[in-house]
Amino acid sequence: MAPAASAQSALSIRDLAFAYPSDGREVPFQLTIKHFELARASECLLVGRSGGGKSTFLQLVAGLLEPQQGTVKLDDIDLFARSTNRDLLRGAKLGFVFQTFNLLQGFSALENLMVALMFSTLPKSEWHARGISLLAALGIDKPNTRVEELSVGQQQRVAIARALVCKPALVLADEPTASLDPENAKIAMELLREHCRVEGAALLVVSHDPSLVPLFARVEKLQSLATAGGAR
Amino acid sequence: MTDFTIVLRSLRVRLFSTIVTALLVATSAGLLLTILSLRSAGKAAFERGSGNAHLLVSADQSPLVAVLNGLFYANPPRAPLSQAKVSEIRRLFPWDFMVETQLGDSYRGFPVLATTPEFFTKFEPVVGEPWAPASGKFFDGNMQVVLGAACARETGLRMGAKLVLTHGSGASREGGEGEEHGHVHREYEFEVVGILKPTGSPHDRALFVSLESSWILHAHDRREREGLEGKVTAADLLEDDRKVTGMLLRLPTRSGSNVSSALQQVFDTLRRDTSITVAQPADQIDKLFNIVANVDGIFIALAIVTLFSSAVAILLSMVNSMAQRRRQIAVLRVLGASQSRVFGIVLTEAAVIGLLGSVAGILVSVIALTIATAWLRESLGLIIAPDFDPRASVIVAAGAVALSALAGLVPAVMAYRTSVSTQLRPLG
Repeated sequence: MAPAASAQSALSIRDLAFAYPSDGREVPFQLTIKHFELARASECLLVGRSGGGKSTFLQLVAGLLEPQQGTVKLDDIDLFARSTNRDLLRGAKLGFVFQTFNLLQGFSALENLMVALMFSTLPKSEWHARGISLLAALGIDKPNTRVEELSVGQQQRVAIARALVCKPALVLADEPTASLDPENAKIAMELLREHCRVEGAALLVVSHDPSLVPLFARVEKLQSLATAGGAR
Repeated sequence: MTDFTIVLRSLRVRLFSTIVTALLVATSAGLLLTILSLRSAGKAAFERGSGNAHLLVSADQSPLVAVLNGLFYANPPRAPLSQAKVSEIRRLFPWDFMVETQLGDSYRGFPVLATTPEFFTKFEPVVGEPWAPASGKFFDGNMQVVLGAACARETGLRMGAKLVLTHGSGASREGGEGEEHGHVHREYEFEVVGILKPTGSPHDRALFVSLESSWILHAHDRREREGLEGKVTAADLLEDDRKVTGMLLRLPTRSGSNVSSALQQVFDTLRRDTSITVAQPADQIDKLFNIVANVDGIFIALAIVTLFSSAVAILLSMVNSMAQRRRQIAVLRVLGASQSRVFGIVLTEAAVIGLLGSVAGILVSVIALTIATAWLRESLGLIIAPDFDPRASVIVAAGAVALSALAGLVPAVMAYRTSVSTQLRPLG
């Protein structure tokens, strides 16, 4: 019997099963998660071999893919319930950090945050101050500079700020250090973890970078989640 | 930050493509507006020449030819009216005015209108805008000439200058260089006594002399043929010398009105006389414009086709840019934008290009018309007041925006169907 979800659970997954449609020639990729739990303000590193379904897992959590069965709850809201607007929930409860940052080109650092805030539940009157203060906390002192004019390290900070600006319950980081050299990777990871703690957001990092393993108290292998659940 | 800010930023990122496609829309919308503006303005410019005459009588072959010859100086009339006929018509009604005219001579290609002083005092080239001299006076005797504004500017003639007229419309030059065409009335020199203010009508390109002066010139030619010598005076004129090629007629009207209730009845009465041609200038100009309306329609159709092709350009430009934009759309989706919202953003982008283009088109049209009308006024003396119909501008702009939005449907559907997982990272 699966353990009960915590009241402060940022992410709760039960009996999840997903398979891509078969084209009839080969066995389709399948992903099953028996049980996965991540409390608010906690963190977890999810590792797995390349092609093992890490990105599929993230897309399921983001509601961008729909499972054949099982439940995914974000901040205790069932992501795939009929009454749930997945786009709104994603904007309000999730933050994303991508391997290649995926900042909006032609937009300033602050505008990248403001675009994220457009889809949040925060009052509009708070947007500007929230964006400025978060960028300042992450060391971006020229918020109106276009992102393409920033260094790689600065772009990474803007990406972290954008993930946190909407006060999400959960930040999903997909290979967040893959584009950085080891020194910058370490700095970026520390910044991400620190600010998630400050903001009270859970952090789920998906990576196959072994250097990240020592940084996390909780490390899960994707393959092991298929049979035995984890909750902390 | 709003969806519209995202639209504007996206357009800025693709600035070159945005400008090129907006310019295409501007060109076609501007062309369409220019044609629409000039259509009514061209007619108005023609109507300026007919002035306050209700009827034109001549011996031309048709009423339209009578108007084109008598008021627009297209060609010298084919045949004159006899003095007996002129007298008969004069007695027919209590005319407000009856101005006799004679065409047939020219000066350096500019037509010479021989007429009576009433041409200046009664006939108005444009209703409500009587003749006014810019310098000098109207003629009050023989061998005096008054110049239209465009004629004075183009010939360079000044007050007091002397000139001789040519029989026919050949481009002869008295005492100047170049070949002479047609018979030059060298025996009688005319003096410039007045230069008229511009009227914006074809009359600006004419020279005006008294009827008697013209009769004397032609009586001299007759007498030469008869072997008689010496200068001719008014006393030497025979009844047959007093030729008139046209008559401008106006019926009495109520004060402040240009319309006479008796016009149709008088017109019908005069038309029964098969030896003359009677025309209502305003009606003939309407008929002329009905004839050219088909050509007008072709131009408008061409402009609309151009507008459609600019919409296709928007479609191609946006579809081409979708390859780069899918990543941006995927990011927006991940941040919380719904499929319908990104659809709306892309559609709005196309509409904004259409809007920018049509606003630029209106400006292009206004500037082009201003330059063109200034040039026409300066070079041809033709006053064209473009009819900037705000309603037409709004309709053209709305049409351009709607067409652009329609062109944006395909890229908007592409945006709607963009796979977030494919764009942000290959499937794991």
